[in-house]
Order: sequence, then structure tokens, then C-alpha cells
Amino acid sequence: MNAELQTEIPENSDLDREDKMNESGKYTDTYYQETEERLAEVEEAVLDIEQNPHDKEGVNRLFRAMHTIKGSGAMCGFDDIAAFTHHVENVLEKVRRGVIPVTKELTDIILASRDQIKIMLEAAYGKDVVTDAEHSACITAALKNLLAESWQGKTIDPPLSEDKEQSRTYRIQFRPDKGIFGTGTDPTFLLAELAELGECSLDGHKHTIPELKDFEPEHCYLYWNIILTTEKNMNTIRDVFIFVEDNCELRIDVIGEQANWDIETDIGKEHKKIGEILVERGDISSEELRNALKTQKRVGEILVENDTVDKDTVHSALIEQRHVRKISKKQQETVSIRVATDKLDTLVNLVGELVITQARMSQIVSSLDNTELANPIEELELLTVELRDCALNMRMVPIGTSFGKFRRLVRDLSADLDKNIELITEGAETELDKTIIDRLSDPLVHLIRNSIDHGIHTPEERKDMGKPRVGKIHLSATHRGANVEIIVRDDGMGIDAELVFAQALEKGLVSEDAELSRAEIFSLLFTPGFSTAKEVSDISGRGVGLDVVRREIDSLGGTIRISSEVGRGTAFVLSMPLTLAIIDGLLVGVGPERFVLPLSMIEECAELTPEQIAKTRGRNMTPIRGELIPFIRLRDIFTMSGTNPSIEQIVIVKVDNLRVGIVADEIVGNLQTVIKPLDRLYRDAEGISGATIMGDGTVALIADIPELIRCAKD
Amino acid sequence: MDTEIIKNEKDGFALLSIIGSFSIYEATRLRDEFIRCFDAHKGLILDLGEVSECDTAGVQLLCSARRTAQNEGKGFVIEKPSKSVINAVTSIGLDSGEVLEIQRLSREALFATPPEG
Repeated sequence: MNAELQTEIPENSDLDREDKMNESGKYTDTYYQETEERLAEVEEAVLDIEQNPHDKEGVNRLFRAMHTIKGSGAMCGFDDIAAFTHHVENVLEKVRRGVIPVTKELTDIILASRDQIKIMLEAAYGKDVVTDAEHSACITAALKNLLAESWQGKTIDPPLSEDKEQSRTYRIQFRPDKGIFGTGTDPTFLLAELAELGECSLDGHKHTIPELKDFEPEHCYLYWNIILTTEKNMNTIRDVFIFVEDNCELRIDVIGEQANWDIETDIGKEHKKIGEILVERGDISSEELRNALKTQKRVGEILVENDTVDKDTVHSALIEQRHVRKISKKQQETVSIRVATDKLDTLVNLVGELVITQARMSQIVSSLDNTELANPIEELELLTVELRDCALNMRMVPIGTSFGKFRRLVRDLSADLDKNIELITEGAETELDKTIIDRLSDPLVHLIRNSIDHGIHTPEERKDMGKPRVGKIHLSATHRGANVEIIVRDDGMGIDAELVFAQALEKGLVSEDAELSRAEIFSLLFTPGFSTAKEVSDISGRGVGLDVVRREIDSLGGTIRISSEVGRGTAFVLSMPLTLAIIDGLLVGVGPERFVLPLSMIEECAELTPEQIAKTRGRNMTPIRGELIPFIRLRDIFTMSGTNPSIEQIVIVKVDNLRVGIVADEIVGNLQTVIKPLDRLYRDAEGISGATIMGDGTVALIADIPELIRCAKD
Repeated sequence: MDTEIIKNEKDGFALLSIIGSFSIYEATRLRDEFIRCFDAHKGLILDLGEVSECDTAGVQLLCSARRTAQNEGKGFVIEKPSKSVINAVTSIGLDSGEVLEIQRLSREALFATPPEG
């Protein structure tokens, strides 16, 4: 069937095509987005099969993605893409059948084809790229060449392709012999093994266990009904019981296939119940229906009363029903729709406004002492919080979506540099705001390039150093409280702190007598214009990189630090907020004005007394816990009027291992708040990253602490 | 490691604390002890807080003891079941609430209205 699918090239009459082009405008966007996703899948799958040439599922995924690109390309009027992809698909079809083996040559061509399709797609979408027809012809020729070789029967491998088993639900009835314990088998282990195969509902039957006087401790009385939904086949399930087969009664039946639980069929089955119809027609009230239903007995109860079955059996059937329901519900959950990001942004903004308005209402009601109003307002508050979380959640996507591109980067770059490097990713399912993921992409590319270029040596050099020939880069993402920690770690040469210090000294970035910790020395690498690479390469090492990375991370409200050991490797640790729309902050006051300081940077709060100020002698430094801390007065830096109170509040923040005090008149308290961008006129205001509207309607400015420190330094 | 059984009496109930393993190797000894307790007392309180290991045979024994108590009108309370006991029950698809009857005030409730006979 697939052979048929892949050989047809859609041919359209001119008239036909014109119609399609007219109509296709609205499909173009969808095709573009979809194909971009498919291309990412292609990339991922190629890299998968390159690592494991026997990965049937990878080859199938690859084939399906290309097939979709071709099919919908032809449908939406992208005939050149369809025609080009057709050649790729032909080759992949042979790979599926094991006629063409998975080789480096093949994966190179497929990746080149992918890139070519991407360029064609962007050109068709009106982006500023030019398709190179010659290059395209080259790839096509190479693809045809692969096909020609396969026809000569050069390579015949055992067939690769076999479609993945469809997910099925099995009912397993397992009744071990009484003496099973005697063989040293505890059924627990078998049941645990089954649970590993898929979604499993266990139902143990214990009604045959006798009273103590008749109880034989070494007999197994229990038996089980198990409902298992899995992609594995019957034989795999039987294999679990292979060592007890002679010591048990075992029956395995298929009770459902995935396709049986399509939403449509499920909906089709849901006929209205007679009671519902009667209520709808106004013949009875819903109250009357409820009362009538209360007296009605469930089938299970009736059967138990008749002694037709025992309670245990009914319970077991209920478990089966629940399992099937749960699975079909899960399948419904995977249904998704595509929503434009700007619509989502509007939603998040509106919800933000709602949160603010609701906070104002709550404040007003609390001063009114009106209990009648207080209850619904409280409910409104709960609903708003839920709505806010829900809206923000919609923007969350797993970071793994961007991991694929890094694998390609590592593959291509390490090949260019004759290095052998493997990228290991972890925590792909960790979710972050889409905007953050998009904007993190460039910094991460830079860090990974950095590791490939400077961190990891060639296989020969590594061997001489007693390291494995293959270098490793770990890219991981994990949740840490309200943040996500992303780590790029290589097992390369590491960074020499002394060398960094010496270079910083040479460039006049530090004074000779400066006493810096290792972390502080490493953070010098983020200073603009700093580069320790002895020669500039076209990959990285132009000395403009890490400071740009840091600035981008800062602007996203994140932090970055380096840890490294010479000879062992280097790790860049990024800590990012989950979302840009909400901030956990500390509200402080200067005169009538309110400022929000991001809680993630705050270490502690203290008082600044007149005695301490007297000791500073106008230097804006004060000792806190034995360390001399420089401080910035918000009133001074924003040139606000008013006089400082006798006792001021100092909030100690930590930025790049530097502890700085931010001085305000008073500390108001913690606040979780929605960030609103500033008007265009104020967007360039230094030291302010946004604003928020408080419950009483006043505006509080959100302080951009790294920026404030930079301003103060200048 | 040998399993230790500490036996006490309280308000007419036998109180057994099991320390160590609660498995097929101890099942016969424990069954006999349970029978003695039910015969001589109003009921049995099992403290399973120190059980380090429990298997399917152990769980069956608990079910049997519960059945005995029900049939003979005696009290039977499992106290502080340890994690391994709870795991053993749930991992074979039994309802831990039903098998272990985990209720907060069960012991006090039991003492307030001792069962007849």
C-alpha cells in the first residue's frame, strides 16, 4: 500500500493549479508551520537512525514525515517541494524495506535534502532566501544514484520495516498454583514486570483466603485479573509468565484495539438516557429524576443479591471498565489544536488585567465589611488564580522541542572540526515559557559551539590525555523551585582560572591585588571584549560571545554561572524563570513610590541605622555579616525628592556573585504579580524592566537590578 | 536477621509488635501466634511499624487474620503499617484501605466500644 502511495506524483492541470493557488493563501501559513515541525522531526529521526541503524521506528518516522511533507505540499500548491521530496521518499521507502542500508552517505543526503526543503519552503513563503537549483539537482542526482545502486542488488539486508504494533488492551487472567511459592516465585515480580509493559490495572482476588485455622502459609490463595494496554504483542506478555507457565492457569484475551475507541464512535454510542429525555421535555423535574435514580439498583448489586456472581467478580469487572475509560480518555486528551501565539498573548494579557482588577475588588470589599459580597469575591479570587495558571500553562512547551536542533549542530560542527562528539540530552520534557525557549536558543547555540570549539579536543589529543576518544556534551534541563536550571556540560579541557585572571589583568579588567574566588574569576569571562582563545576561529572565540550570552540571559530574568576544572571539563549553569509574565517580588517603598525587586535575586533584608551611615563616611558601603557591601539608594539613583527616614531598609541582592544592597525607605512585603510592559516612551528608562498595577490601582515599577548596578558603577 | 515478635496485652487485647521481616519464612510462626492471640483475647492489635520486608504470603496472612476476626466477632487492628507493608499490598492489586483498614482513630474507637463476646 505504501509503495503505491509513494510513487504517485500529483499532476494538476493548469486550471486546477490556479484554483489551488487562489485558495491556498490561507493554507500557506498552516503548511509552513506544519512543515517546519515535520522537518524538525526529520532531523531528529535521521540523527536517531544514524546512532542506531536498526531503529525501525526511526526509519518509519522519517518516512512518514517526508510523506506528509510531499502530500500536503502537493495539496497546498507547493509543487516543487512535493516533486523534490518525492525523490527522498522513494529512497526512504527502500530503506524501510531494507534494500538500502543506513549508512553515513544516506544520512548525509537525507539531511542535505532536509535543508534544501527548508530553503525551498522559506523561499515559497516569501522569505529572503534563494533556492539554488543546481544544488537541488545535485541532491536529486545523489538520491537517484542510491536508488540505482539498490536496483543492482548491491545491498540486500534483512527487511527493516515492520509497522509498530498498535496499542491493544488485554485481559489477563492469572491464577497461580497453590504451590507457586515453593518454586521461589513471588507473583509480585511478575505483576511488576507486566506493569512495565504499559498502562496496567491490577485486581487481586482474595476471597479464597481461609480463616487462620485452615490457612496454609505456604499456599498461594490469591489470583488476579489484569487489564493491560500496551503496544507489545501477545508473545511479549506470555514471556513474562514463561517460568511459571506450568504452575498456573493463564488466559490472555484482547478486549480492545486503539481504533475501537475513536472519539466519534464513543460519542456515537452515547445515546441519551430516558431520564434525560423526560427532564428535557419537562415531563419530570431533575429532582424527581434524582429521587427515582436513588431507588434504582446497579446491575452489579442485583446480580450479587441473586447470587449470580460474587462481589469480587463485579469489582473486577468495574476495574476493567474504569481502565478502558481511562485509556480512551487519555487518547482524547492527546487531541490538540493549533493556536496563533498572538492570540495566546492576548489571552495572557487579558487574564493579567483580570488578576489586577480582581485584586482591586478584593481590597475594596475587605474594607466594606460586607459578608454577602465577600463570599463571591473570594470565589472569584480562586477562579482568577486558576484561570491565570491555566493561561500561563498554555504558553509552556517542553524544552525538548529545541534539543533536536542542537543535536544537528553538534553533529555538523564536530565533523567540520574532525572531532568526535556526542550530545546527550536530559529533561527534554521540562516545560518553559515559549518565549523563553525561543530566546534561549541563540545563547545555547553559542555555549554549545564554545564547548565544541574550545572545550573538547580531537580524538587523538583526547587519547593522549587519557580520555575516551568520544567527547561528550551534556545538555540538561531540570526544575529547581520556581526556576528551570539548564546545564551545558562538556568533558573537555576545562578553563584555567589562573590564565583567566592573568588575561583579565592584562586587559586591565582587574587590579593585581584583587582577591577573587574561582567563581568570580570565571564570571570575568562574561565581561565584554574578553576572550582567552589564542586564535580567532570562525566558530567562536571572537571575544564577543559570552557577554552577549549573559546580556540575553539577564534580559530574560535568568542567571548564568560557570564551573570548571582543568582537565575535567566545564559547565555553564543557566537558571531561568518559568515565565516572563509573572514575577515573584519584594515590594519596597521610597516615599509614596513603590518598587518591586525580583525575589530570585534577594538574599536578605536588614536595617541601615544612622550609626551605620555615620560610619560609611559618604562611601555608600556598609558591613553586613562581616562583609563590606556597596549599596545603592533607590532615591538617589532615580533622583527622587524627599528625605531618607532615620532608619532605612537595605535589601541584599546577589548578581554574578557580587552582593549589593538596595536601599529603600520601607519594605512592604512579598508580592506575586503580573508584569506589564512600560509604554514605548519609557521603554529605554534605565534600571526599570517593567511595571505592575497594585490592588489599590497604583503602579509599582519593577527594578532591573543588574542594570541598576551597571548604572551605579558608571 | 531473625524477626522479633514482642507480645503485650492491653485492655483485653493482644498487642503484637513485629520487628523485621513479615514473609513466607515467618508465616507459619506468625499464624500460630495469631491463632493463640485470638483464642485468648478479645482481639489482636498488630503493630507493623517496624516491618522491614513483606511479601505476598505476608499479605495473605493479614487477610486471613481479618477474615478470622470477622467470623469470630473479634477485634483486629493493624497499626502503623510500614511502607514495605503498604507497598506489598498495593503491588499485588489489593486495596490497602481495605486490607489494612487504615483509620486514624481505629484503636481508640475499638477501646470505647469493645466488641461483644
